Amino acid sequence: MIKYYFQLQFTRQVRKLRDFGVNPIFASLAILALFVIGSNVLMTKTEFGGHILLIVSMSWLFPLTIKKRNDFLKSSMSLIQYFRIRIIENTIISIPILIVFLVFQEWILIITLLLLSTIIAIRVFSFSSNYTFPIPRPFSEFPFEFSVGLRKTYLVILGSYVLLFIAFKVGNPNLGIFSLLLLLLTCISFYGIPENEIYVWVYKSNAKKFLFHKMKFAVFFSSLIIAPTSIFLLIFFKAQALILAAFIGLGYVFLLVVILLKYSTFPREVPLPKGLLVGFSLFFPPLLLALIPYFYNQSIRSLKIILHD
Amino acid sequence: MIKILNLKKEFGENQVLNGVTATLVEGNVYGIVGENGSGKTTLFRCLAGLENYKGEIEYDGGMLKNELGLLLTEPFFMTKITGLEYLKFMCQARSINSGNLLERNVFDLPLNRYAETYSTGMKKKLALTAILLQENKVFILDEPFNGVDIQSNILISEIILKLKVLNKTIILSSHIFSTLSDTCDQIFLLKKGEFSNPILKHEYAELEKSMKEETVLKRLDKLGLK
Repeated sequence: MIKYYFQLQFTRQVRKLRDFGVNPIFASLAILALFVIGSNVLMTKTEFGGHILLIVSMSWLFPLTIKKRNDFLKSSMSLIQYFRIRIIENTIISIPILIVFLVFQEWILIITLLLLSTIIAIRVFSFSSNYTFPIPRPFSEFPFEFSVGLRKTYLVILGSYVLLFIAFKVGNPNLGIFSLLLLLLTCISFYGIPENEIYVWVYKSNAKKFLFHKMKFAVFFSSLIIAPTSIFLLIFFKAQALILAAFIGLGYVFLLVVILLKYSTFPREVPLPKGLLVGFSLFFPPLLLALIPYFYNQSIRSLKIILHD
Repeated sequence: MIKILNLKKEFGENQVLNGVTATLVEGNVYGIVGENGSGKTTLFRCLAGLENYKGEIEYDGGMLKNELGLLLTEPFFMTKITGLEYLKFMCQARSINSGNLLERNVFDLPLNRYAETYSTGMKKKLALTAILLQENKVFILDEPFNGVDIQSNILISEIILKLKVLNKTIILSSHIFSTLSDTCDQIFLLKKGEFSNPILKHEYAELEKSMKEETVLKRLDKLGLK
């Protein structure tokens, strides 16, 4: 039973990668390489790399605590089997970061991670989204991307304000700009995954109007979100105003590109090669001049089908 | 009026709809009956333009999609959206001034809760409320009675009859024969991807009887339960 469960989990991961349009072996090697490089940089170049990795491991473990998933497991097997599975899967997920801690001889972090992963496995509690009390959001009900996004990422947003405060305390403008970039990235992430097709189909609009409506609201509400941080940075780090403006401008461009990218393949998820193209344009922005009209035309084509335009 | 002409839909080698033809007139309620997997939902998705198909669907009231209220068997709700926000979104998407939605909460749903936390029946009632608020001319209701409590079932039946009086076109599927016989003017039997001839009200009893004899009894026999 337990063996079959893990075989299934393995098969699921392989299928996810295949559906994403990548070769599972290639993707696994690429992820491994990125992890090795990333964790090495974190542990050698930053002061709190170990703590960041600990948080990363928690972010991998928490999705496994989703109530529906655990209810399903508990209802389909004995409690002993359930706890075994939970402990084993948490341990498997923690292994990569445990190895990093071992290499860097971070014994306290090793014990902390082992303890946390076991507690999370045994303790029947959920970090799922099934709270009945809605988290308030600062804007009206429109657009849903921001209502949903803010409720999912409010901790990141609060984190960015903490970073901003630290930047102010230690007089580090780069950290302040980083907090702003974090906010911009958060806003961009609201448009990362395509919504159910019904949420586009239901619009009484044509493709062009729909797309501009989405982009207009995205820019407007993103501006509201980054406004306090931007103003704060302009007041306290005036010398960085130009860099700040450049980053904000680039952030808006990428926000629009991501919207175009999402609708270019709508209602399907964005295939990896397209995502990589946008990722590459981060390092070579002139590529955007070609990507924007390309994604725009594709978006209009996809939306015309859904909206019967 | 909606004219469905020789509608065909296939998924790979599986021919789900094989030449469905029907004319659906305003002010009528049409029931679609068929076994699980017979293609009812696919037909509805084709009507809504959510699937590519062969054949024609003609609507003389403008663009069907913009006049259509679609209730799917399992309505989809985004996470972290309250019932109220969902209703507002659905109205705004159709440029409808929703007014005070709390007053129009016909099923007394807890609109300030996240829709994802609703029970199956509550989700269905929320989705139904949304398409009613949209003031559509055509309604496709895929198993609207399924998973819904008795009081709401009665209310949904009454709503359907009221929509009929208001000259709306309603197409619904249900696996509960009594709900169909109470509400529908005509029933189509979807079998092997094709519609039967329309079955009229006075023929419902005969239809129910023949379905029982042809399908149920034969299958009970397989289990030795006849």
